Amino acid sequence: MVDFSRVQKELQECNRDINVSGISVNPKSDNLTNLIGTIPGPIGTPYEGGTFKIDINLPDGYPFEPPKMKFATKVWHPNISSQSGAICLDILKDQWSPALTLKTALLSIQALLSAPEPDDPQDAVVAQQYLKDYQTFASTARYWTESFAKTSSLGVEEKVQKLVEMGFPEGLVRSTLEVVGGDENMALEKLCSG
Amino acid sequence: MEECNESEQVSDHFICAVCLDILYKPIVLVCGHVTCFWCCHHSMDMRGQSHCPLCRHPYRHFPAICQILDIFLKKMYPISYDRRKTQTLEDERQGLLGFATDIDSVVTGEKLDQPSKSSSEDNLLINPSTEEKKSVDGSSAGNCKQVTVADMLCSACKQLLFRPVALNCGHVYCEACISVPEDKVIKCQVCECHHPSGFPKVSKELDYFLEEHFSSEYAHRKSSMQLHKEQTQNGNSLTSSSAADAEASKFPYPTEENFLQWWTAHGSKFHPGVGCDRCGMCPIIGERYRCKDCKEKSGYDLCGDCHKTDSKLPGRFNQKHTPEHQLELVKPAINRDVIYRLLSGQLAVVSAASRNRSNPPLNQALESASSSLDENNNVNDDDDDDDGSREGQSHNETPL
Repeated sequence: MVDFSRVQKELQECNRDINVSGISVNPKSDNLTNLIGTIPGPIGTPYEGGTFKIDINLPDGYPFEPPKMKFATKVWHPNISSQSGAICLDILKDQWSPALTLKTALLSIQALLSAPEPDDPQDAVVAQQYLKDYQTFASTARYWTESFAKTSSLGVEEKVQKLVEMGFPEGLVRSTLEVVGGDENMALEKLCSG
Repeated sequence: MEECNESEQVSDHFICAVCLDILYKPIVLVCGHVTCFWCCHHSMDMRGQSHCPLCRHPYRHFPAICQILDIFLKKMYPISYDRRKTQTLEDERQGLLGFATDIDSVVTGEKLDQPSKSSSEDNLLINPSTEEKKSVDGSSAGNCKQVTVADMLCSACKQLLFRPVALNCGHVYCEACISVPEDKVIKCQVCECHHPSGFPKVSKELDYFLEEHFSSEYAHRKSSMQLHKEQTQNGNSLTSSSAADAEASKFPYPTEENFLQWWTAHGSKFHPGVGCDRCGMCPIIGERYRCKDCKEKSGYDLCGDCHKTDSKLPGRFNQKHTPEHQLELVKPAINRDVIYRLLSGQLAVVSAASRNRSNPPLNQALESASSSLDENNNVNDDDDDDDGSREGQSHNETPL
């Protein structure tokens, strides 16, 4: 059974210094086993300026078993799957310790964004690119950050209008926006690909 | 769960890093870090070497509850202590903490004071202050929030603890009061238990607290210690860790990588999921004696060395073990866990080889095979959690 009193304490603790760390954890639903964490992209990296959402699933044995974490925001990084968001990080696997918390785990993920380990890759394609052509890697990562990790300040109606002005039919624009969860860039990509 | 609206502001020094609540029935690891009894037990690897949740210092003996710290916490934070007590007892009754349906063995309640009482009663003649301390404790329970220097005395020098270290049996000494005998194995002066884990490190949290709370006495102790040190100069050579190293090399613990080889050499002595109820060695490597008369789900086991000592202590989990009980030598069971690890070890070897040949399809197949095995294992672990052999803390292994 998950130790919910501890999870509750963790949430309080984490959201207390949110202004300093920028890291937050919030329950996805009423039960505390599904949570969503957010981390700001580290400054001085291609992820700067982005806000990354991480899906957190607490197994029954938490905190004696590591929390299951994966990126919900698409991210271009050698140790994060560009497809599934799976994270390759030892403390989320065999190096987990019950003295770690959701916040420290998220901090570690943030550190992983600053310091990729291409020799122990999760996404082989990204890792290859990182090693062979760092410039392209950095620009792809930056582009992905721009596209997926920046919350648009536009409201839904403005997004619809913007896309309609590009020449897409309004009905299709609305349904596509809905499918991609309101992200105008993803919607545009989808609309363009037919 | 309820909010922390207690009037008590618990010092950060006494917050367990695992449950993030006030320490309840604290145990001090050899590295000096303190956790709750159950928090430590749940963090242990029942199938190999355990590591401190805070510093990853390896250890192989589950320490006994540190009574002096427990009594202190009870006095210092009576409200929080009672809340934790009610909560833990309830969890134990419901079997949430491990040994289901075993209502008799409520582990961390007051009953657990019995082992310490029985052991200290043996020493009452040599150690009259224990009795004195107990009567103080009895009268003040509940309302006295003030702790005095008398609550925090070294088991040897009977002065305020200075740079406290705890032995495996839970007794606390000043670092300087521990002497390493010829055979390098430290022995507790109070309960005569061996301390198998090498020279213990100072419990920093406790030390900071002592310095804060008893500043003048602490400063006094500090200056007298310095004087003492200058006079004797050499002091204790902290070499006892070599004894632990020697023990470690005698019975090396397996790692995921070398399990296959290790098991071939030591498998006949390996008792995964079983801990010694006296010294706390877990898992037992070497001879294992099981009590035939203890009916508790948790069972009662001793390692070969502790069996020789005719222990009078009841079990760690409040088993009602008595010296009249019969113990029998048990052979290790080849359980699912061992089979699984042998299998996954082989898989890892094969998949590493196949990775070298860069053969992704086979590699993937193996991965999925081992991950499905992993799932099975988890299911098994869940089954085992409730049974008495204290097996399978479902510590997830990730093969590969």
